[in-house]
Amino acid sequence: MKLSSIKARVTALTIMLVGVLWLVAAAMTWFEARHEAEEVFDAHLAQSAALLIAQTDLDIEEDHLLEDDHVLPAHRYAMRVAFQVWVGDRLQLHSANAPDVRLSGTTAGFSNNVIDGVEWRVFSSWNRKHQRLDDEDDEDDEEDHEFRHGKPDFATLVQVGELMSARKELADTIAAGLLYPLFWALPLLAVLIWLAVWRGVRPLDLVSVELERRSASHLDPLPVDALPAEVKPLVERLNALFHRVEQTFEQERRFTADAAHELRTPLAGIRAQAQVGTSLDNAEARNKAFASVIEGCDRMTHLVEQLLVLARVDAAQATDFARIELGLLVRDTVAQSVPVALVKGVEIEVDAENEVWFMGNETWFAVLVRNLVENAIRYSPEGTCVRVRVFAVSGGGQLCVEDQGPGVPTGQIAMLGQRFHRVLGSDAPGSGLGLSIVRRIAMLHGAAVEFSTGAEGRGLRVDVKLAAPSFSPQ
Amino acid sequence: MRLLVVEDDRLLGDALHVGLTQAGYAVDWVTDGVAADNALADAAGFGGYAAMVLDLGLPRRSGLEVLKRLRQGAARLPVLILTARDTVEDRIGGLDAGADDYLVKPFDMGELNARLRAIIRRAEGKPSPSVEVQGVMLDPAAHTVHVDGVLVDLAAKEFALLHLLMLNAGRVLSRTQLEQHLYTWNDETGSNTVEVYIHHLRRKLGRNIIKTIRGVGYLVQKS
Repeated sequence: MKLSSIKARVTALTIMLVGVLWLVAAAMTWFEARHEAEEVFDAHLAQSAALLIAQTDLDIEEDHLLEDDHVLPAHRYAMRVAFQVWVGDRLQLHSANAPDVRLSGTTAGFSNNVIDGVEWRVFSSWNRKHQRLDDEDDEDDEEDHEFRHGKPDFATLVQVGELMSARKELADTIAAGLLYPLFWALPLLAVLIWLAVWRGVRPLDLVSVELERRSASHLDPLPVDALPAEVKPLVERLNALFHRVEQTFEQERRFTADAAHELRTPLAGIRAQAQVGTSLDNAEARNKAFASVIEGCDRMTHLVEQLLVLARVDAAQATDFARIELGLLVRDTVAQSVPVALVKGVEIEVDAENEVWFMGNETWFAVLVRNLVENAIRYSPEGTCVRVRVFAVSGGGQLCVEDQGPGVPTGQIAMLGQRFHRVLGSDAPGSGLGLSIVRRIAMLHGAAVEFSTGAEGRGLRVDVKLAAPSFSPQ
Repeated sequence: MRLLVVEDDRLLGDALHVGLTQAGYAVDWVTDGVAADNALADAAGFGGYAAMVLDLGLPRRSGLEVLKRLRQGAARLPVLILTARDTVEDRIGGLDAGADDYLVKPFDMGELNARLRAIIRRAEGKPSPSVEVQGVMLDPAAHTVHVDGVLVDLAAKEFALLHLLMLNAGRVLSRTQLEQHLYTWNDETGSNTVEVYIHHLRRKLGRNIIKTIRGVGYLVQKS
């Protein structure tokens, strides 16, 4: 039976254990007690027999003819105890409840006997004092203790017996005394345990109430101070999770706000140019205004496209990865950017002779390469060269894109890849999102991106380090 | 009047340059905060700009910084800021930093012009937009001049020159000063261009409200 409540589980387990242990203890105690009680009873029987013997002894010595007599019961338990004093075959003395026949066939020690369907525990004692002297002849004889016929025999046999049912009743009373409390103690214990566990589990309830108040807009950390040791780590991890989620939300909000603002300036430019254009009377100036409007629209289009790519990359998961050869991918992607470079008067060099394999998504990684190459071309002055290299390193491969443009001051290298951050002061019409896209795609592929200054201290160098796929036997 | 436009976006800056020049100003256009500070420092030489149009998102030095520095120097130059940020906090921040007005992109060029006129007017302590001297009424918003109620047609530079003189009525402005307020760094001025305009103005106005002070400059008397 699976109980989903801790209170129920703890209570049920504890009650079961307590119940079982109690029963075991009760059984053990019962056996012990019964055993000891039996010994006491037996001792009592023997003692009674001895007393009787002493008493009949006196009577006989005084040469009194013992009268048939019976003794009235003197105690609550007395009805169940009986005694008989036999002189020869004659029942000299007996208790009121003693049967007519001998309580036991044996004449010495303890024995159990059934008389008229009733079980007796009997102690028999032979008053040897009055044994005839010629008993000595019969020491080896088993019938030593039997009565001899025809001889006046004053040997007395005392038998004290106790109803076994009385003993059983006693034992049962003890057992009942041990078990009876169980019936009210266990339920009471169950209730107490339930309350105790409820009390102990209260911090969880409080945490649950606090959690109820949390929502996407309200992710304050839960209070940790008054929590028990078992719950603290759980709540601390929850708080850490809240923090991460809040940061993600904050990033989202900022990104949306930043994107909107980034779109506003090109829009303002387009509007202003169009408005100015309408009031120009010079055809050449008007055409210039229109051209500016179109240029503005193109810039906005580029920005919007980069935003879409970034949104998709943000949502992409690292699934559908296949084995890709980096050199081939790079050569294909760079080939697409060559016309742009030529127009600008910038040269592109590709050095990808080695075969470098990695696990990735071809489409996304092509976007990464294209962004890096386009970036390099954009910031390269006329007559300079953009170098793209692919080489194998221990444990994987590396892509390196280097330009000879103005580069990035060391202080600002850390900010590269932040959304919308452009190294301002350059006229290059970048959207500021290219490197963010590169960073995100690299992260998707488990690759590291590093920025540094290019060769001879000029330009920017970007390294993308990839891990080799683990080969599985095909 | 001479304006300083500080805007790093090429398209928008160009539009501002052309549009404001069309409206009759001489426009100096810079694209970063440091250049703005330099231009402001140099402006002391000709009596300062009439107003500044300042974009907040600038490279090398933010627009707010330029503004704060300007105000620290107790300058009373009217400043209108342009920005893509439109939250209340941004507005409060900009105005508290010392801006006289605030426009969110994208904006209407006509509105920009009107607000510029307003802040310039306020700086000169002239609540009424129009200026009138000796029956000559100049309306900067409508870009018109009436002499005794009759409309007079003036060229852009003539209008600007007359406006300048009328705004400074009672003060003598030297030729150099006039040139500095009418032309940008890029314009080439002939040595007697101002004299030519003065001559044209006197002829068109039909009355001589502009007095020549030999060796000093020109002035328009208040009455």
